[in-house]
Amino acid sequence: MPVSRPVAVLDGDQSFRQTFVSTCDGLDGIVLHLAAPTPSSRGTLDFRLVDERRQQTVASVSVPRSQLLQEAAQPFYFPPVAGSAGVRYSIVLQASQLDPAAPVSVLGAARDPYPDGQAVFPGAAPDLDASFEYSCAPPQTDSRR
Amino acid sequence: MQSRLLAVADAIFGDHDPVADGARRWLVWYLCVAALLAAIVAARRLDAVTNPQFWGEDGFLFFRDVLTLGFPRAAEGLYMGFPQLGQWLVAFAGGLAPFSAAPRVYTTAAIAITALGLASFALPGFRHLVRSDALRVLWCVAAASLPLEVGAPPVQFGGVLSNPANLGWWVGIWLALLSLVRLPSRSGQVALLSLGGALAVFTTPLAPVGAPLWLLRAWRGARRRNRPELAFALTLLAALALCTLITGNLGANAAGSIHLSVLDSPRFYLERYGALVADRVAALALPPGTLAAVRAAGNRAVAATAIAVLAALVAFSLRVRRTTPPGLLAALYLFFASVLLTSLGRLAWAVLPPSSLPARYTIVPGAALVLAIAIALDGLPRGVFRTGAILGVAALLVWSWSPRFVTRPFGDQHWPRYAALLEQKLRAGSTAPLTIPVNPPWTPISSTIVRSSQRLRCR
Repeated sequence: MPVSRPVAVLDGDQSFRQTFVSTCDGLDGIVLHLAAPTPSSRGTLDFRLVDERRQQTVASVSVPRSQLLQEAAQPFYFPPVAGSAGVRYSIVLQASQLDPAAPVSVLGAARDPYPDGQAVFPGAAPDLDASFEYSCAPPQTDSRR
Repeated sequence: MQSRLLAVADAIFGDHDPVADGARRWLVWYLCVAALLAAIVAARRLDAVTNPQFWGEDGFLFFRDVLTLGFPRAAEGLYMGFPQLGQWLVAFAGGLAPFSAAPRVYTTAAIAITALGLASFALPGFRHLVRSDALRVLWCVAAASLPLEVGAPPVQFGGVLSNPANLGWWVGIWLALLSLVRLPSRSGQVALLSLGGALAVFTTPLAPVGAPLWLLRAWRGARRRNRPELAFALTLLAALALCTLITGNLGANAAGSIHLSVLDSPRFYLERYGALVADRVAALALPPGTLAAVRAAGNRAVAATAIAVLAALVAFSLRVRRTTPPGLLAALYLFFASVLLTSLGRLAWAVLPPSSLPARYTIVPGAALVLAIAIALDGLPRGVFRTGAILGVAALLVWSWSPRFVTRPFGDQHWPRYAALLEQKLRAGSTAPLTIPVNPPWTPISSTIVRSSQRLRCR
């Protein structure tokens, strides 16, 4: 998906949500395009993957603010989620004590480039989507586990 | 004839008398010199200490393969047609550390091995070549300070120092020194040197340069019925034979898809070899600005510079003591042979202008030429002329080399952040791709590594 603008700016304890529908089984990674140009060692960014139907967190990763990548898309890795094909998920980014002087922007685009989901953030327009990619474990890898 | 050859061999390899001085004192001396050299190497690219990072093969080959395959499987293959054994051993050590600390293990090991190898010349085992302890230390300092030219591609020259990827060239200097060392009297020490030398043969592609010297030493060992010396020389020769058997051609011309052969145009390659030799001599003697001007003036100007330097060396040699010339010739042989082997092993660079030769290929020839100069200076009769000559050469080298002493620091690729990501990925067993940027920029660690062969370590 294209990256053309910030769809949310996270500081303090704010949270951001982007829904999507997985098209494959074994969902095991999400890449988000974040911008964190001002270095900071304060706070963390907590990532959660929530099964929308069951309202259940199926994966979570916590990244210290100081370890966010600066000039590259930020990957979040988690164990493969069985039966993820066709399931609606939310990517939840929860800021925790982030320095307001060093916020983290979630990048994406307007005009609803991803019709199967949407970005949810206070004050955000309804046609915004975060730019994200997801990956699934190939079946043969799954069978070895 | 044979007795003359034996005398030559004695002058090159020294006699077999045990060192009279205390071994402990020399150990302290050796470690002090090694510490000094480590400081010099670190000062040349300080970020290797303040912000250690992988360089090229350190990341996409050594780190990645030890992580995914484990040391034994990773090290059993050839890279660029060569075993790279020493580099794999460093990678093995790096694999024992947490991911975030792995580059520090790599750079620290590279600096330490470089310093310990070069500092060996400060030991009395080389007194038969350079009697003066101070002059031997000066050679060590000079070898650690060898000028690194930009070469092609320009971004690569900074990686010559403090990285396992280029450690083989520094080990090549040590192996060249080992070819000339006066062997210790204890068999156990000779065995250790033999083992070290054999490991070095599998680490540096320039090992064949030492082969004629090892043959001469083996012959002397047989003539003198000196079993340790014979075993030492035969061990190195056997290691080289085995390495050649395994690799076929020690990785010569493994990289390019262009087929080049000396036999296609022997005269052309001979001329190119001559040009490369002249350029190497000129590059050691002249500072960058002057060198660029001389190169711009054409091959004849470069050749004239080289002839002037070599003529000065010959002029010094006319005044040296009787036992000096064989050692001097051995050092000059190491210079000419290492340039020749580099040319033959990387014919593509022989075709390109000599100034484009990557800095890593200039390390061993540079050290050998400076060794020849040190031997010639040491051979001069003690007195004002000798002192003046040493100071003059030192001043010339400082003038010429100081602009090239400090090399460009690497761009910060934020290894600790990617190390944390890699750990996160492996813990999760995620197949999602991860691309870790590494210097130079075209050598990232790109992979879908799922599992490590090692147990993951908590940070």
